[in-house]
Amino acid sequence: MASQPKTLRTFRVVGLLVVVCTLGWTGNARAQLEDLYPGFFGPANPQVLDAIFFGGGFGSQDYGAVQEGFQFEQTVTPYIGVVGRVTGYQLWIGDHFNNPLAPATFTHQARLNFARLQGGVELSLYPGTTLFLLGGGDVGDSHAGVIEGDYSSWLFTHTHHPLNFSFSASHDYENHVTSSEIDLRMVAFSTANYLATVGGGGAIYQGGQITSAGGQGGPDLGVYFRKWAFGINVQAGYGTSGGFGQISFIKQFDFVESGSF
Amino acid sequence: MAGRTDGWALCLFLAFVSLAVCFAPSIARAQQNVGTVTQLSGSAQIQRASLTVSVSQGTAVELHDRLATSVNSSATVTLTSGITVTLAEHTNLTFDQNVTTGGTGRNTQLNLFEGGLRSIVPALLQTQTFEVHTPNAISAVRGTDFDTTYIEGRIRPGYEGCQRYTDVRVREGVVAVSNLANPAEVIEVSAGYETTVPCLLAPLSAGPLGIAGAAGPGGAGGGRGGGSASSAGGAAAAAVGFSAPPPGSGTSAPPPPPPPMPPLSPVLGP
Repeated sequence: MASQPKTLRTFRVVGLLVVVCTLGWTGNARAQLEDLYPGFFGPANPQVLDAIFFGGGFGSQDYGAVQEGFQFEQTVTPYIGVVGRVTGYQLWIGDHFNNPLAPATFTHQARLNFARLQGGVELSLYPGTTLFLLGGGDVGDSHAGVIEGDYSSWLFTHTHHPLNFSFSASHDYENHVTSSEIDLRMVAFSTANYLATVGGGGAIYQGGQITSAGGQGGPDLGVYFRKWAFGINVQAGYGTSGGFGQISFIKQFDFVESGSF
Repeated sequence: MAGRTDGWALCLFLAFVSLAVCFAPSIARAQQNVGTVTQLSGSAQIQRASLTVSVSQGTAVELHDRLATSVNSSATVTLTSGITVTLAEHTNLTFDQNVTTGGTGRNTQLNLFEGGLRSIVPALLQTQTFEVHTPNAISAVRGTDFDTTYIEGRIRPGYEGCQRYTDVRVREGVVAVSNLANPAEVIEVSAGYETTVPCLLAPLSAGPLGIAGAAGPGGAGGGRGGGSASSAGGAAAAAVGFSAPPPGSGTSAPPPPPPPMPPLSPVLGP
């Protein structure tokens, strides 16, 4: 009988020690984080809202697609933001191609229209590097749930020709296909008015009915007009669907909000 | 007795004349007009000796004046030499040297203590100089258009232990940038590029505008992307009449590419 209160007391002491250690560790970690990332826990000041409009088209021997959309990014802390993205897709599929949204059915439809609604977080833990983690779903001809990660980082920024490495991966829970895009671009030249990039990249996809990996790749050229915060990128190459060409554009608006949360 | 008094009076008179002759140039220099405020948005003040003068369009700026802009304000001063300087919000600047010969500005030196400054310098003669000093850097130019921003009291990732930065962004021409502590080590920054002078270190090699992490005028207030103030600063700068903000969504870099195409899985039919 006497041992029960003793056991209880031991549990209490151990519990207290765990709580104290946890709090101490948390405080220490927090201090270390503050050293490494000043203002990590504070709200961003000023708060910034970025609105980005984007669009583009992809054409190949066997299918084509057009996309257009809007993305907003709102700062929360200097390193973390929230992101929302709406994208509309129109697909045109060649006669001998399966329906890419439901490959198992082999039902052919010449045109598919759907919208993708996504939300998530943006992490900017180092200048020039961003990571978007998004989740969402499709409406329209597709009803898939989707998760996506987009990573972009500038390397060798203090040279005349910095490199940009970007990687995007997404998984579609309807056709179970995982697709990814990888790109490496170099700043060819920079003036006060524009920035020109040259590089190469491609896409790889596999999963679901696609048993062996497919994809395409080729060189790309980009120009970013600083004055209009407008960028355009073109790419051409060859892949599973034959020769392809791709064009994309982006238009950015920044709104600085006074004060903070 | 009267003759002796006359002698003293003469001596006193001569002493006054000597003093006047000695100090007249400095008095004249102190009142030298170096330019005029040609554009004002919001409010700004001039600290002239012990006086504080409220600035309006057309206010004359004199040598050694300290011009300060308030929050959400900007002011443009056209110097007698034809150089135009635009102060972003929260900027503090003195006009320390303006040597003119025959009405032409020869050596102009500004001291930027806080905030951001855009300088548009018409082509100068070989003998002319234009310099912007900050507490840790010197930017010397010959015919160009560039921004200088001085930020203090903030740590940037990658520069732990340093809390003072001078960012120089060049739109036109070439700017020679050096650290005040080591003026011999000069980096030449050409149009479309930018550099940063952190604390007592030599200027970093120049990188493309908007990518190398330098803040634009108005960017001293803060920003996103690990302390890089370019996006917020750029937008603020745009709001007060500077050119477009640097590309980038918070990290002063062009935004990531648009999302990839949907998972187009071109499976061949039966």
